[in-house]
Amino acid sequence: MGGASRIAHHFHKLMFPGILDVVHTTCSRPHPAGAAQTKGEVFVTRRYEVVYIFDSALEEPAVSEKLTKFHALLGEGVQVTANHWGKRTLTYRLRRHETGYFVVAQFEAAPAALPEFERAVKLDEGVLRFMVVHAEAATPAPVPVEPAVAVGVEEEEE
Amino acid sequence: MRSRSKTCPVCEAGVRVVDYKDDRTLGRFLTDRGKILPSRLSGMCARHQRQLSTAIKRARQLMLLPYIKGYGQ
Repeated sequence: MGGASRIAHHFHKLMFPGILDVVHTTCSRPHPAGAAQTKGEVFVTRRYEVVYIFDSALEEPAVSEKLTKFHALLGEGVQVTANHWGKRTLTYRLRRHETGYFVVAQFEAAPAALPEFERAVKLDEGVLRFMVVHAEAATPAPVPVEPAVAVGVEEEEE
Repeated sequence: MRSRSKTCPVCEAGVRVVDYKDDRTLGRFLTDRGKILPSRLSGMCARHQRQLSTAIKRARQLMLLPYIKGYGQ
């Protein structure tokens, strides 16, 4: 946790008292690192997904190096799964670039850690564009319904 | 003109959340100029049409889908 994120955290607490003290058991879990609880506060984490589009002039080792640098800002103990799509043609030209190196990464982090992370990515000139979203598509598939119930559902549809 | 399909194609495929990274699937719901196809033509249910429009807009920002198909070619 950096100084800036601590300040952001306190600002949030000031603006929305009580919000950060609530742990949503369904959508979030307490922070996995040692800083799980400080002075009775609970850090809530969220699942995020980032798509980076790097300059296609960068090779894979350079991209991986940048990724480790970015992901180090998310806090200790944050596990990131990065999926390298590789070079793809862009559907429109962006600053004279016709191709980009795509990487999709997923992680679970505290919302307060994001502004610092986004700032670092934004300042990097090797990143053409990036987007952070809540990882919705990664929602675990619904638990298969028991056979007896499933049959009932099918009958209803008919 | 495309004829209206009776059921939502996304529901039929058994997909819960429309993925903004799947440009091939999203591309099926664009007009030949790259506009979002209205649900009255695609037969999309309201929930998936909402998800689709968000997904297409995200894919456009990520340069996976064009804002205007055939522009500058």
